[in-house]
Amino acid sequence: MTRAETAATGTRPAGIVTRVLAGIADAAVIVVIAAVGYLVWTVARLAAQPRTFSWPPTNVWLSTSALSVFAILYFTVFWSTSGRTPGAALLGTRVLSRRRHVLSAPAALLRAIGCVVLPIGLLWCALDGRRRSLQDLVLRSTVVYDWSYRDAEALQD
Amino acid sequence: MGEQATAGARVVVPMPIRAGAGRTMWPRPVQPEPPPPDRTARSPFRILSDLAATTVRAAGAAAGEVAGAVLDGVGRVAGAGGRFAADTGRGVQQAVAAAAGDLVRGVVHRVLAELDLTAIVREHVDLNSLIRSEVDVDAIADRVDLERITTRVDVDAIADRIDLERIVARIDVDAIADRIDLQRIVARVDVDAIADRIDLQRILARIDVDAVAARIDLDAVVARLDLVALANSVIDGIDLPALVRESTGSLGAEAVRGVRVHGMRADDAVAGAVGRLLRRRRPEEDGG
Repeated sequence: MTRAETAATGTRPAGIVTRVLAGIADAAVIVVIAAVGYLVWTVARLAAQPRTFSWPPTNVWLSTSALSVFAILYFTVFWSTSGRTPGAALLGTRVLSRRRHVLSAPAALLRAIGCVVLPIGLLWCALDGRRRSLQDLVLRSTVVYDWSYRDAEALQD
Repeated sequence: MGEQATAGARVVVPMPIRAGAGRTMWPRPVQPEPPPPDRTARSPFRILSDLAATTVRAAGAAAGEVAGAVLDGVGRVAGAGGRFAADTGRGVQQAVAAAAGDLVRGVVHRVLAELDLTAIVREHVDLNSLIRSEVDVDAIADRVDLERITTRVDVDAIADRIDLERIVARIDVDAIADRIDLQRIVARVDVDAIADRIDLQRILARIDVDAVAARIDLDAVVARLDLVALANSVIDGIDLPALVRESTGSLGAEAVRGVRVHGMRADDAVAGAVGRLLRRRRPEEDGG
């Protein structure tokens, strides 16, 4: 086991690169799920009213709002249950409270809102000495490396 | 030793033997032999011998008696003592008996020279019947010292004289092989015991594997293989989906692990760069 892997089994806070990669992965998952949901909804409308079927109107604000709400729910559910979203699981990170516990549902919800509304706050972890983003500073949370080689194998099984 | 024929039996009369230097030895009286078996066919030799012996014995005895009587009469006439006369008569009798014996031997030699005894025996004697009735073969066999005979036999010399090639050429090996029950022989063989006694390591050490491999015609072997059928059987025996899952899973785990490790190193690099930019002495990595 390398030095980095040994450190990964500890409680080191994750850096900007890992957290951005995890965020991108989560964003991709969210987009894919939303697209699938949109297609399912459209097909359901087609099945229900085939004669009067028409593609749903494209409203940017509505779509953005719906996607944001879905993203907030997505992050809230994962952070309040296991502390890691699929993207975080892929990169081997976990969101914990200052006391190293999984976030409570309100804290997870607030952190999810903060991340979706102000994602740029994540970049602060690159400047912070303890690798904390703005959301972490406000909610007293932290993102740590939490993986091992065995976890990487289990992730593929 | 003189013989006199009496009523159906021969009585052996002891005769003096001249032992040289004027000494005379008298042998012990011998019991008369039992009469020979009555044989209806007597050989001419036997007849002649008996006739000659009887004649000579009778002549000798008569001459002895005449000489004794003459000497006895002369003794009486001369007035000599009876003892001297008896001794003198006995000496004359011995001389006459010796002369008779020489005569008998001469006659017998002469007869033997004239007759072909072998032809006579072959013609007139039933040797097989004689051997069967008279010869005790078992007793003879008991007296034969086979060990002594064996020690005198030069086996090597006998073996040298044996033409084995000629003997082998006359043997029908196929017929012998047909009579051998190989299954029965194999059933009696303890193969495990034989295998235990075989030193395989020693045998393998003596095998030149390179030479064996050089003699193998791989092209001919490959030409005889049904590679398609072989490949199908191999594929059938392999759980290919499971193999693909394991390999892809392993590859995926390696990929995930690589992404995580590289992400961590990038995090450290960024933190280091920012620390140098902000002139931090060392990056604080302890989470709070």
